[in-house]
Amino acid sequence: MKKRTKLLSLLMAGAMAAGLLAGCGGDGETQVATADNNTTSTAENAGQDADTSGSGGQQINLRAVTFGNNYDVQDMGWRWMMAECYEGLMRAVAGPDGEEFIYAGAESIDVSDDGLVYTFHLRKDAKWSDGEPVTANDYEYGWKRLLNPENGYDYASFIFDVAGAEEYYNGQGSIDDVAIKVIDEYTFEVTLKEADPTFQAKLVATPLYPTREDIAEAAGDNWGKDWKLCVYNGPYCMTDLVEDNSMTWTKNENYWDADEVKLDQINWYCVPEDVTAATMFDNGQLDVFDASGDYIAKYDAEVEAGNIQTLSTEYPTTAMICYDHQNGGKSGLMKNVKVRKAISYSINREEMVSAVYGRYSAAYGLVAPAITMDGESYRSQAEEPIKAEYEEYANNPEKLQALFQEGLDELGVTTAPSDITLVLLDYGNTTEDQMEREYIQQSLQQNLGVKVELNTVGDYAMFQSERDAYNFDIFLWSWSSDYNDPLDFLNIMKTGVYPSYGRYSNPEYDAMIDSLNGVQDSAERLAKYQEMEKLLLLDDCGCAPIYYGDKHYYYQNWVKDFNTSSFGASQELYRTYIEK
Amino acid sequence: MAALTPDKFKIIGYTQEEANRIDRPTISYWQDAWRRLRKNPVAMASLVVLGLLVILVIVGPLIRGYDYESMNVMEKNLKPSSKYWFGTDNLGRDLFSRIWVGARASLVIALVATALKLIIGTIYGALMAHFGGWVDEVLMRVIEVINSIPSLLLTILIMMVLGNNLFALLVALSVTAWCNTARQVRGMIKQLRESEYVYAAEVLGASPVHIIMKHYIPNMLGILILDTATAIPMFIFTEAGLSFLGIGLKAPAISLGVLISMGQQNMEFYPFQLLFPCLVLCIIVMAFNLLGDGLRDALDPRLRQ
Amino acid sequence: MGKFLIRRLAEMILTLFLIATATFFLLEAVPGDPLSERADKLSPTVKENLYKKYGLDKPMMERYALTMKGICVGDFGESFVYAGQTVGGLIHDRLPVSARLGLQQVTLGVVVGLLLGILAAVKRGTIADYLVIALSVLLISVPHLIFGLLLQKVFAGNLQWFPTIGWPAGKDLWFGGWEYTVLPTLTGCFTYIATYARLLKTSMLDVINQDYVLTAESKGLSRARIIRKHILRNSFIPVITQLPMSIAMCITGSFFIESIFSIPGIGQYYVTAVNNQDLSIIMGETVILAAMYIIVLFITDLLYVAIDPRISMTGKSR
Repeated sequence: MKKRTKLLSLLMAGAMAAGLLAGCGGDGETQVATADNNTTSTAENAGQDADTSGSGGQQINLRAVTFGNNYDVQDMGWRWMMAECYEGLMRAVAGPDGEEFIYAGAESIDVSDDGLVYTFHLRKDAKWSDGEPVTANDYEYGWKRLLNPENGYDYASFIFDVAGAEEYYNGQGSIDDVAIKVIDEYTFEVTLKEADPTFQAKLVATPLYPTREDIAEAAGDNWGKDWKLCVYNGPYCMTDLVEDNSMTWTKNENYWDADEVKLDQINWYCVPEDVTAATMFDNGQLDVFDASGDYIAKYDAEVEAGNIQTLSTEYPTTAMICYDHQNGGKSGLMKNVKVRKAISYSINREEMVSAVYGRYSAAYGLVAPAITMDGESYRSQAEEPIKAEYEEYANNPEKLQALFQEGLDELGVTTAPSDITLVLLDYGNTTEDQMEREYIQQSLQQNLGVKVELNTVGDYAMFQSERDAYNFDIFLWSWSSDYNDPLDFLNIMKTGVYPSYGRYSNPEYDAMIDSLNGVQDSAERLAKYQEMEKLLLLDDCGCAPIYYGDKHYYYQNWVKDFNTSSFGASQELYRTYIEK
Repeated sequence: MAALTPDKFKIIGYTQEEANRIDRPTISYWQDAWRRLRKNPVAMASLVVLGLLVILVIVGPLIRGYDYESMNVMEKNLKPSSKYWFGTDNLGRDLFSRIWVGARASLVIALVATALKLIIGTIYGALMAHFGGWVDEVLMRVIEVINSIPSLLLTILIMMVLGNNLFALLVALSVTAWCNTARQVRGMIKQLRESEYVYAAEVLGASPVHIIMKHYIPNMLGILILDTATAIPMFIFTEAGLSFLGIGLKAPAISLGVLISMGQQNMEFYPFQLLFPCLVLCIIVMAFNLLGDGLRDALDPRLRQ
Repeated sequence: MGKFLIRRLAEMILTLFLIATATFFLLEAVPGDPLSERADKLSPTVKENLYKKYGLDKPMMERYALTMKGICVGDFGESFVYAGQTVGGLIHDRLPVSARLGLQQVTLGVVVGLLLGILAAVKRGTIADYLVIALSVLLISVPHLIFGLLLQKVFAGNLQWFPTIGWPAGKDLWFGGWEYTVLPTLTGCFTYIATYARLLKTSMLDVINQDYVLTAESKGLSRARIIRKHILRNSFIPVITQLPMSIAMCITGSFFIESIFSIPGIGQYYVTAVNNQDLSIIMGETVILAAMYIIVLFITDLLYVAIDPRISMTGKSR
């Protein structure tokens, strides 16, 4: 029910339509803030830091749009916080040169020649914030906790590759048969059912972070809900939180690499309004600003003038229109591929990204360009499947209407298009949310001559219940990838994986995903991925991709080594320092 | 001093008619009120402005001939010009047309909510005053309970229970508002019942209908009209506030509140998108308020000259 | 007097009981429950345990009885959303913040409002009168959020006279850190200025037409003295009726202001709780706020007696 905040979305939700990202189970967009107990004001830090940094140690001031309260690594609640305060085997850091995966909790990883056995050698100097060492047992506990069917974690499927894992999760096997074996205090071994190149990519994800058994068990139901119960093994510790207001992280002196961590304190402020945040950024009270819309042009000019710096990157998000494959929608028409295509091609992506968002890039494929294979963007290796066909129809209402009519004929529907009403389900109340749905509504009405009714609900919970009651023909949703492999995108459309993408189901597609098991050769995988994407989008029009995500960070000149990460913390502060 | 004798007087004639003749034309309460309202330039100006607003709200969207819904992305966020008097919004829609459509919705919502408030409030208040005793106590307690719960909570909860629709919006708007009307009506009726002139009328054998028509209604109408004049802007304003919380009208329906909240998010770059809807809201609210002030002066029997 | 107090006390308790009951059933009527999203992905046994932990597995009437019992002993339970957060802790941490913000707004608003109201009434029909009306209407017809953002932009952004966001904490909680409170107070006080200016003006005009004012005038009292001795004292009655409303309102009514200026107050948390369906928090806050409101109302009644000689404590006035 946490998403009910969307009812107040105007206040709470910020730059991005948080709803679009809800599908990924917590993205970097939800961010929090607080004050140090000792200071006199929640914002004093913000006010003073601009002048006094250096005297009281290195501090950075950041902005959050909304708050969450999920500190459970296995649940991937607050990824942007977890990646800073916790640490897994590997860390993903992206600089201007692209994403890099570096060893963090692990010193080295041995993979057997057949790709089945992974041996993780942990660094021996890693410690929790209470001084206890991070051991192989913590990883074993964390992973088995993730698989425990009692806990019902979404991300359990992340390690279904591990022998015995899926069986345990499904209640058919025992916890002892899960092939996670602690060899000594700092070594553990994992055996996979089949070789899987995506396994290593998943190691940066928070569900595979270690968890302290003694502390988690003592906390019981409140584990992951009450931050005061947490211990940390990352560069920073959460030291104060005023819910929905502000948050403080301080340097974790017990962190193994503490010497390299230069910031002493990170102050997060919850600032729901962009105008306020921009004012603070202009005055130097905020060090980083996550811009969207017209702010991008404004701050790009500042960057030109040398007043601030910028870090703009692609982000592994794709937003798409989902169709009701289950019932064919309220109109019953969504079962026909030509109808779906006519809807898809009626939307001018280029125009939509520039008019509605002022950022992002038009999408004609499902896998976002931020996903790489062999160090190169997947999209540079695989053509966007629907681009050519889209261009045939784009901005040509007659052709689109003809296509739509063909679809109707195939369905045996004799109703004139002007008497057809399609239902677009949506929620959220930011200008962007509103424009988004009105843009789609208007595009379909103007290009196809149908009527589009908006079923706008107050918040995510209501959205969910409307969706599950199939009170829609189409809705806009998005996926943000959790690890660096095209499979994570393609997998969302596999039968039964997610209820939130219109319940597309094609046995042929499912079989193609299954056929990837054990395939290690990346050229072969690339070919299969392309084939799958083509089947899904071009042949079936299972969903209609609209845009690929991106991030636009602007930061003050005195902020050095500020990084971002697609799979870790959106604002990666691991190496950041202030130099005035 | 000479004594007065009857013969010094003579009858110059008199008729019943002459005795009852009134030299000045009778002015009813309403005529008098209207006369005094007309003398109040501010109130009259407000009335004219309101008349104009009503006309604009009806024909405004047609003046420029742009559809308030259809987008035209090529012309988004244009500044006010001779083509688009109030500029365009993010999807290139004519703000001038949209504002009048929005104002129409705001006005209609306010009028309906006010009507609900008046009807419920008057009946409730009259019941309290009529029955008195324990009925009065119980009904009064209900009002106290409603008033003690923060209205924002009530409003949000009602919208959650009833869903995000027009009906729920109207209920949520009027649910706390009628309490005040009920209290005023109750107080007024109680006061009237015990006032000397109503008592005198009763003693003189006036029928209940006469008393209701001649005493209760004129006295109460003043309050109710005033209540209306202040309630309408209040509702317009509250509806605008709800839009900020995301529980106002659903797109593509727009109200001034929706327009203001959308304009607010663009205020740094396109201030006119915020300015114009705010201006129209201010004018409507101000006109109703000033008219209300004028009406109060005009309807107050004590100010009758 | 004693009897009156006992009667009033009983009435207050009854009202509180009714408020809690109404809130409970209203919350029941809202679809969904605070755990549904969290429970969605849990296995049936865990789900059952979770519901059991928060007592949501019991039938409605039993929960009602438990809630009422909790209220009687002042135990509202733990937050459903923020583990470890109790109503008591919340009130302790956040109420002072909202109270200071609210009181500053009301004080400034009422003082300025009353002065403007007197000005408008005394100079009735002049430019000053219309300016006051225009100002007060303008102030109430621009939403808080927009006023707040504009003030913030100009005074914190362009001029940099005041901090953009924040609120005094620690030793400065009540007296100190004034620079942080200026903009939020200004933003919120406009409503009160407008309300009280109009209220006092209306009420003064009423009183000016009363016979006793005419008597005083004919006695040859000076205008200033009439205003002070007769008009003001009598016109304050509606102001005093309105004050408790304002004070009750100011604590929850600052939602937008708390949000814009990042003030860790109760108003913002309250709305969040409503949206999260955080039952225990909503119930606790509602009852406590309502109790405060009722107490303020009671004090008002006592004040009435002090100000208006026509009202006696037995309530038998006519």
